[in-house]
Amino acid sequence: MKEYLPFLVFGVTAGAVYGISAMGLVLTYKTSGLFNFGHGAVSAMAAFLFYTLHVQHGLAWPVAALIAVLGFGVVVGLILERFAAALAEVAVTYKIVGTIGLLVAIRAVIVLLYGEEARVFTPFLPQAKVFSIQGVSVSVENLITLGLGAGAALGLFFLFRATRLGLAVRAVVDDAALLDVTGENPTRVRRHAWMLGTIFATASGVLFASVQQQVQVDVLALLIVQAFGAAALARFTSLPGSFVGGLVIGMAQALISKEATRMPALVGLDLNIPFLVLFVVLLVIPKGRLVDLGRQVKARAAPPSRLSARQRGTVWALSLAGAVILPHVVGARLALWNTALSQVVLFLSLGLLVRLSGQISLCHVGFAAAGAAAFGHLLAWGLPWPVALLLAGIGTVPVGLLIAVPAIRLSGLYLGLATLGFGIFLAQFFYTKSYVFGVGQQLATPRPAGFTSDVRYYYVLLALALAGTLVVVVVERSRLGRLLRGLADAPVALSTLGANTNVSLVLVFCLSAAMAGVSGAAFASLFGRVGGFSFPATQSLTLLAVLVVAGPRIVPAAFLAPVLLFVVPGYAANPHIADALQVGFGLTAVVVSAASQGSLDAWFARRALQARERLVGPAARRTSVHQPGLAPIGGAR
Amino acid sequence: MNDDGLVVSGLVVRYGGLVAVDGVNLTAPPGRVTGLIGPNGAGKTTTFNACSGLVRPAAGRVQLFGSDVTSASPPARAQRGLGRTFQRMELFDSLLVRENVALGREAGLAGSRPWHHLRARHADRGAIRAATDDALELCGISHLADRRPADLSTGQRRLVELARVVAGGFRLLLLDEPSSGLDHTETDRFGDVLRTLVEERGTGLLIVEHDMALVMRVCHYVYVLDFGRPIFEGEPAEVVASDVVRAAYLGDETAELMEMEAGLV
Repeated sequence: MKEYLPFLVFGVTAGAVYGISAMGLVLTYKTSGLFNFGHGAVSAMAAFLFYTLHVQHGLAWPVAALIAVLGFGVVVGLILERFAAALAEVAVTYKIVGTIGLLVAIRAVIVLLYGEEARVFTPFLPQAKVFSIQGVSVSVENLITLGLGAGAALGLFFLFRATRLGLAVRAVVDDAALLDVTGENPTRVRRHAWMLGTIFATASGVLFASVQQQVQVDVLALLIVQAFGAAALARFTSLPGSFVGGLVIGMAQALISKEATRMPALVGLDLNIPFLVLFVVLLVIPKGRLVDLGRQVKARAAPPSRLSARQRGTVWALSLAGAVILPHVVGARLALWNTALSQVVLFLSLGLLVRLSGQISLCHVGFAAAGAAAFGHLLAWGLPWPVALLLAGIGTVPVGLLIAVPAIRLSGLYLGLATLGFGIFLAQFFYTKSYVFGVGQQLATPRPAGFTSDVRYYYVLLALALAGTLVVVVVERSRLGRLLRGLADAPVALSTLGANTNVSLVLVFCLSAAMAGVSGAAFASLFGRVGGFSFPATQSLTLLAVLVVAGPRIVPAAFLAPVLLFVVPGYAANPHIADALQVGFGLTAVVVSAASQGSLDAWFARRALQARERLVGPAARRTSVHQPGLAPIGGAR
Repeated sequence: MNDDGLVVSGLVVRYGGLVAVDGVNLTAPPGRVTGLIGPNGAGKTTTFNACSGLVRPAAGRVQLFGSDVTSASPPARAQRGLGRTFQRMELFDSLLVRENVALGREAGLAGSRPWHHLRARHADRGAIRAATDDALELCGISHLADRRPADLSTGQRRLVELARVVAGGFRLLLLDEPSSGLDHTETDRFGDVLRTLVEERGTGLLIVEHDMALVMRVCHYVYVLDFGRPIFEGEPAEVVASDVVRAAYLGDETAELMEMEAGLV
């Protein structure tokens, strides 16, 4: 027992931090129905603010903490309440994309200001020994962290049971409109919840930095996933339960890292406990226990194209001609275009899931990585390049099947969470193993013989992108395409018409995984060698944000998105432009999500109407404001 | 196979502690229109959901053309000939009206076989087109075939949903408040379509409806629910005359009006 104690003390301390973060997450989710994927990014921002004030400028830690935790928490909480209100009336996919946009934007802001490398962060809380249990010392910091967490959990528990605000918070979850009638303002209640929840986020960020003794943007932003695991153990609803969930995860991590010193197979598993917990909990909780909070809104269907068939044909022909002559025009920048072109199939495969079928995947880069790894091994066995490429795609299908299982049970938010947990688990546990990307992460993936030059390989990639496009166009027009659209629009109706919707779902996940696998293989071949570092799990989030920014049509978006993501920043002389662009993607994803039900159109229409009224008088209002096309948010279709 | 159509016996559905449906028995034979009426919250839609497999009953049996489907999935029931519409219409808004209606047929052909989900068999294509054209024609919405459901009025959307199940070729249809949101002419047209389905095609209908005039006009037999329990069943004229139904649902004035109409018919 004694040798476990130091690990347990560390585990409980870390667990308390996860718990604090999870309580903030669950509190805001419960009151606004918006599950904030950017929660951890807010924590990271607070930690960096504290770092600047305390470490860089030498401010006393209590002052720095007051500013970074309370002051910053309140301000950001107020902003986030408005943010949540803007996303209250959109479909769940867009709620997820909106908060992912927030995460992408905040992460990029931090990278712009501080860079991606970790910085030393000396613990600021007193490290003095208070007492020791069987020779293991417990410091003031351990006690303060645990005390803060436990105090917050108890405090929230009593707040909800005993105070008027607590009652109002519970009411706003159940029926905001009804609460409004009683004279309590739901917005005011939500504002309190967001301020409180954000203070929890900022506090957990600063404490986590102290426990880790470093500040690094991705470690901090992924604090959210530790919190997801903790919140999952409390079924995303119970606040004290979330805190206990955090403690459980912290302790499990500590114990496994202890065991890993004896069993090498467990190495790396401790870091992944939260993702594994998240994935497994979502797989085993009875479906009825997982209720999507917030108003359920059906996504508005994309309007039909304004261009005639002939015009579209012309646009396609011109684009194709441009693509064919491109390598002879862009000169030394061709490498950028090659990178972008290798991602077209990946975006097509993501579009099949998100745009056509109304599903969500936050582990798409994981599919690409699996394809790349399979491809490298197939080439090593001496298979010809095209055969290895095709088989790499087929080899990724089982991974797609693995994700189709939660997709059958879950939808919307919980599917997003499960896929995110799965993707991070793949990245952190499997990619690091030598049987995946070889010893030293140097799996050889040469280009096909005769096509090794950049220009020649460009045409290989173009052919692949066109083949992928053909697949998508055929699927869209086939029965599967109609079934998938039906699945996105009205799954219950489709099943009462006699189609087993699980079959369509499994098919589209397998197809999407296979295409992503092919794309990953082509991408790997671009560089000749590949390792897990080429497929960071967080990239899946960026992919989704950029896909949404690139527009509602699957094929054009799949070509535009990689150009935005790789080519545009590559042309900029300043290396910071890429990060600035990421901020732009994030914010645009937020705006596009908030406007997905036409609220922006409605806003412009109202402005236009007001302008007209000023000019010709108010008579215009009666005749045009009630046109269905101008109906503001809330129209469910 | 036998000709009983849909037979529900001893159906009990619970939501947590609430008993939404408590001991409902009903039979909806083919070629007949069976009504299911009752005040809001009486358990009508829950009964429908139990019939089509969307909720799991706590007790009781659901039989379809002689076979027990109590634990069958919604698509499996549809494959056995049971179709339905929804009180809050569930249309495929990103598809054209024609595609919506065609999917009524295609969904059934796709079933659970992966290959049939991928593409339509060549032999089926003509049949799908014929069924689609016929359903559009019957429901009088051929002129809307190339529009999108989101652009249509409530009444037109109801007709699209009806056409979708007509194209599906179901032998038994559950229609959940088909006339709500329809104006007078649209309701009349709806009644005509229902009559054609029943009299010319032998389809069996079970309808939940609040428009008592429509119920009186089309139903052959009516079941009345209140608080999840069956309180009366009989022919429309008997239902109107019943004191129990009057007290629970219709109210005296409505019932008198209904009696007058029944007398006139």
